[in-house]
Amino acid sequence: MPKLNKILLAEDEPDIRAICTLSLESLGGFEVRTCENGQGVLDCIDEFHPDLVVLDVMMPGLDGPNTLARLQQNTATKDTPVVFLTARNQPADIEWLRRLGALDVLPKPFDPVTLPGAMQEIWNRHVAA
Amino acid sequence: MTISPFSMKKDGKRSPRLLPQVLLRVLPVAVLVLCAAWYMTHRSVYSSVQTELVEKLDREAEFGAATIAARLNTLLASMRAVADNDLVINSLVDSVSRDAYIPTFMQSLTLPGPTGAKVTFTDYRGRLIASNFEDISQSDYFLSAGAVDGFYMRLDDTGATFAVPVLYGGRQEGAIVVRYNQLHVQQLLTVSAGTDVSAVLQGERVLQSSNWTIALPTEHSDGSGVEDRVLRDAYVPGYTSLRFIVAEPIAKAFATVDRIERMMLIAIAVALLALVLGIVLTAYLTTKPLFAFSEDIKAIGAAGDLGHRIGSSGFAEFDRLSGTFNAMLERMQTVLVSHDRLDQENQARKKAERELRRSERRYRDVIEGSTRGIFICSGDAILFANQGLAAMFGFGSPEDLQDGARVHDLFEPDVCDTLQELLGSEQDTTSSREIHVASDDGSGTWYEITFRAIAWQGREAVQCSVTDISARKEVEQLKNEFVSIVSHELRTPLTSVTGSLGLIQSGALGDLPDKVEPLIKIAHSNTQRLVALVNDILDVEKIEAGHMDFHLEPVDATEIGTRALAENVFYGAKFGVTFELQPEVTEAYISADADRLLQVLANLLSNAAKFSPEGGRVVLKLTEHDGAVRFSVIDEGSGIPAAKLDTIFEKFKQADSSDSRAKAGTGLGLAICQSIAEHHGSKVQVSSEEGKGSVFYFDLEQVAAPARDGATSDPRAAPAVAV
Repeated sequence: MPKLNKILLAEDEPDIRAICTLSLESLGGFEVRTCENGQGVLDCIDEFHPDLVVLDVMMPGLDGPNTLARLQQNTATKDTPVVFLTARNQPADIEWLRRLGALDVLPKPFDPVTLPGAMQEIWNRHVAA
Repeated sequence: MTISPFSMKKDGKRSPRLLPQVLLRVLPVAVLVLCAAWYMTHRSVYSSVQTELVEKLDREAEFGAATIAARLNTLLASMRAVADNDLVINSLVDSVSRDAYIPTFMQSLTLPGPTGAKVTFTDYRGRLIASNFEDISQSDYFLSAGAVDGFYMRLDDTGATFAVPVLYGGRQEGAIVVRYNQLHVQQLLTVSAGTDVSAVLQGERVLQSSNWTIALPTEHSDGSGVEDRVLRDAYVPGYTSLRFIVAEPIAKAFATVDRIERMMLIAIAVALLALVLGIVLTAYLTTKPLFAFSEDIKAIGAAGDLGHRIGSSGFAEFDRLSGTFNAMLERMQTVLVSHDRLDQENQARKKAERELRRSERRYRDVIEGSTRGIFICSGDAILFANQGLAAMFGFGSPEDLQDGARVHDLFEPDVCDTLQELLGSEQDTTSSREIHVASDDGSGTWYEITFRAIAWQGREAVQCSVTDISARKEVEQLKNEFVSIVSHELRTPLTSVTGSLGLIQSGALGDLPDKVEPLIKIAHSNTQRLVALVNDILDVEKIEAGHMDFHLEPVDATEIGTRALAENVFYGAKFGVTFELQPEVTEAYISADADRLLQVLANLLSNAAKFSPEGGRVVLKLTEHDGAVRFSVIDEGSGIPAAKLDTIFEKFKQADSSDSRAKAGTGLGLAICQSIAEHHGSKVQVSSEEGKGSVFYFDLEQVAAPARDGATSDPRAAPAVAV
């Protein structure tokens, strides 16, 4: 059973980025790399090879859904699981994001203390499936 | 209005008057009849009077004739007696002695009849033998000697001579001759008859007459008969040369008759007069009511007063006429009254119609002047459209729309579907929808259409009101953006703050100085509360604006209960409270938006946990209740004062503001729960007893189990991660 180790996070808000990194690294013990937007994800994914990509939905430049679409177009990355982080937590929005092919959707604001656990749980469900 | 029931013919020819007409017809007939009656009576009376007169005269004539005959017979009998006397006969034989006694005898001789008669005794040759008078005419003696049949009588102007023979030995030897003069003859022949005139005639010669001044025309001489008198005669029996005639003047005989006839004529005249008077009276009596009638009718005609009634004239016939006329008036009045009523109704209706038209014009002005597009359609046909609609769709006038356009030209097919659905619906059924009509420049326009089923000119139709809501949509867009910005811009820094504080507080970054730790804890819990507050405010905003979507679908009540407990169990742990699920229903499905329902349950469970004493127990109980599933959250907390039960569902209200734990809530939770419950057709209710705890419950109708697709029942969809 593959373990969740490397997480690539795209988040335009530097504070959130820092907190997430801190939370996932300190509490979850994952290896985390962050970038400002979707373009950053595309730039480093081939080199970083993350187990899981976490995308903010609304980002300047390449946003979450478009990044997901680009990842899916690439055969190398199309199987990489993606989790969305979004402040638009209306059920319709969540449903829409799931349909795009996201593994799951985590609403903002999230609790950094429980975030590593939530990630792990999502990963475990993914692997089990 | 005036009604003239009678109009005179104006052809210049006047009808004749009644009275002269009647007189002209009746009078000649009456005169004719009366004259005829008079004539018949006259004839009959005359003839009977004449007959009677003739009979009377006949009787008188016979009587007179008999009387004369009797006298003559008596005279002759006396003369015979003288002739048969012995002395007389002896004197013939004895001529000597005769001179001695015969003259004396003759002197003393008396005969019946008038005195003074000359009696002479002659021999057979008519020679005088003796006489009581000296101057006796010889001729008479002679003549008398020739008396045949023993009797001779001669009447002439000078008098009358009678002779009888003296017989001796059967042979006439002499004769007794009696001679009367004219006066004597008169005496002898005069018979007092009860008639006007009586006369004795020999042949045509009048011997004696009671009135010599009157000529006596005889029946025989003149065939014409009586002219001024009636004359009858009778032959004297035994002396057929003599006739006794009686006559009576007609005037006298008919005097009574004439009187009667005069009276009759007077009576006739009186009758005629009476007849005329009668006719005049009748005409008067007939025409008087007729004139009155005519005046009445004229008055009615002039005044138009059909209520007037013609009074009684006192005659049954006219009363019948006036009765008939009154009945006609009655009928006309009835007709007129109904006509008037119709007229009034007509006017009232016209007034009402004018009112209606005015009101219609007002409404039409309002409707046509409205900037809203209003139209009425039946099926695909547009029956009415206003200027607003025409302007919206670029038509010059509503008429262009009514003539040319169909509903499907203007709107999308789903609008037509809605119209069709409403067409058969009960009146005033309404519906509305928002549609977007793209325009050439790409901007497009948003319309809100309100549909209402109505009856239009007797047929089913749908009234549609189209409002351009582009501006509102724009505002909504702005508001959405605002909400989005608030969600994002406010939450993001909050996430950072609360995340940082959480991380610090968790000790993952190293131990905190003793004095810092409680402050971090305070900061962390308050930022968490701030996050919750922002979330609740956004929820309330969405619900109130109607922008919270509800996806109602059949869900398993027990599954919802299980999830609610699982997702909130940590919350109980936080307050040292045990959550317990008591599902008393199985396979019970309800129509609900699972996420929203879980939100409600999370709220109620967290409330219950908050207000329960540590070590307390909170029970989520699912029971069946009148075909619905009742969700009850039962706690063992302090309970809610009765006075506050009414207000706890209002925003920013809590039962006890002094409760320190209440500060952990936003005061919006129950308001949100109630709104969500209402969107499920339910209502959150509470029963509470102070000191013993509270029960919050709501009922959701059971529905049939769904065909499972599993997509929405994924527990991961729960938003309850946000804590």
